[in-house]
Amino acid sequence: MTDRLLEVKSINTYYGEFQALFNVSLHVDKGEIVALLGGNGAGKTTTLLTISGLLKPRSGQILWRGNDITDIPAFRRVEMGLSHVPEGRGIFPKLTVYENLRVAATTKRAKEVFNDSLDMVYSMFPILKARKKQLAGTLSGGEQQMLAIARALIQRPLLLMMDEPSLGLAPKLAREVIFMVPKLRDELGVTVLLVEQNVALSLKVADRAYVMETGRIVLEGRSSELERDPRIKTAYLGL
Amino acid sequence: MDPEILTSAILDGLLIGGAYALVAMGLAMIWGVMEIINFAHGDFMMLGALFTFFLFTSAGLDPIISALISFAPIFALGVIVQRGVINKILDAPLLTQIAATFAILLIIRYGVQAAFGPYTRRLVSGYSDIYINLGFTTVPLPKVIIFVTSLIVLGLLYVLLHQTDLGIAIRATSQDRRVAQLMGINVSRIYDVTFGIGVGVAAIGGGLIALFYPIFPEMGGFFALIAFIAVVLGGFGSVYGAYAGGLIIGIAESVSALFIEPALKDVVAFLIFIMIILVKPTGLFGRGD
Ligand SMILES: Nc1ncnc2c1ncn2[C@@H]1O[C@H](COP(=O)(O)OP(=O)(O)O)[C@@H](O)[C@H]1O
Ligand SMILES: [Mg+2]
Repeated sequence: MTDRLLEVKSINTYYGEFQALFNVSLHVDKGEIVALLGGNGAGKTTTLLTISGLLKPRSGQILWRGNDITDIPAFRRVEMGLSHVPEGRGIFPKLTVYENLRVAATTKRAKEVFNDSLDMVYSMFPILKARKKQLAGTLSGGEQQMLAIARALIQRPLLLMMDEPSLGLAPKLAREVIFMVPKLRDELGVTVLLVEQNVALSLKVADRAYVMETGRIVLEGRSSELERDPRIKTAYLGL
Repeated sequence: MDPEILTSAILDGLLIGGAYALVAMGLAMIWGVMEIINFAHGDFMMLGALFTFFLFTSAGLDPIISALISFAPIFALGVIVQRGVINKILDAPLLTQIAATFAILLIIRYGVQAAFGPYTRRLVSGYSDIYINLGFTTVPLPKVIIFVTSLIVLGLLYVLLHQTDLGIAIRATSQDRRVAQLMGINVSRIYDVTFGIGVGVAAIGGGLIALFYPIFPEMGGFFALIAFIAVVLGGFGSVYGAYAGGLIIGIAESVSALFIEPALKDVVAFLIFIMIILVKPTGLFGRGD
């Protein structure tokens, strides 16, 4: 039997009267890397925000390890092992790099192992250690993205949701960030839900993927199959 | 002009500035974290003064100790007000926010008037007549106490905001309330604490001001205005800027009283305010937290 971490059941999310998500359903099993793909405005960010609790769906359910968490506030979902690296990184520019990491350790568990976690993320991203006393707002875009990922790892998540980690990075760096995902899974054992517009690269690192258009999931399947799907080839891979 | 007169005026203004700073720091903190202008801020200060007065007269407690103790009940009241009112208007239009905190002002001010009468009370204690001789001038002990306390509170707030997990979470929340939730921070609890500390510090200020200033239900109005100007001066939202702003207003008032009709000295604060708005609307220090 698979170990289902997350199950999103037919959610409909609105911004005021504007419906952004239409019956979105997806699931992520433990140990998987799942990509959520689609163009600008497809509803990827809205989906992640609904999963992490910053947006409430008007209908539908979010199940976490089988339990309904739809009505649980966002900050408590972190405690359960759900971490979200938001679009645009969301670092605190006027906190130091160290403070950005420290502030992520809010749960008892994360606080207890904070020093170990810190060693871990510093060895993973040595630049953060070198800049630990610097204000996070002074970091480059790539460094900020590393900080955002490191900060989520400090929370010791079971599921890490990343919203376009490659956005705004130079192509080489964007590639590096996306190829870091399998390393996170293999070395740290975190399950990943990766939101990306970079379809080609994401399909290379993901086990499975969902494709969204105008608030709906329009395709889903194993990455290897989707890479060969003619609809993906024409719409996203420019082939 | 005699330089000694000028020096004593500056010194006196600096000490009074400590009182303004105590009221202003909390106002700045509340604005910086929650983006709420607390119009009732001076009235929480007045409650601190009144609480101190009653602890002193009824329980016979030392007035300085009483003023420090007043932090606790006013903090608690602040948490109640934050949960009952402020939390519900955080995303409301500015006018709604103004109306709501103004309503709190009215309730506190006229609630006190109804409960304890419209009287002016004076807290006459052993501290009232003690002066410290500095050679070239003498300064009244109560003003020294309030200035020293303001420095200590400034230091404590610095330690809180920079050295503790709670403080780092408060600063993170002030920068991005949504991402703070993704960190696992319970943002409404941060707001409780912020509002509580903000009005609690003002209450300490009120309690100490009562050592040399009459206590009456409307006393908060004047101090809230001064605090507001200090906050603008300090760059809107910076606790340290507001502290400096409070001192600057104290000194400006006191020095100007040497040259103009003393009754007009309150106008000085407003002149400073208008000048800042015209010349450097971001405040003297920008916003650095
Ligand atoms: N804060 C908002 N208010 C109103 N509409 C929004 C807001 N955020 C996103 N939308 C709309 O919701 C739809 C989905 O947006 P989003 O989830 O950000 O897409 P994606 O992340 O796939 O680019 C878009 O049509 C977008 O314009
Ligand atoms: Mg997006």
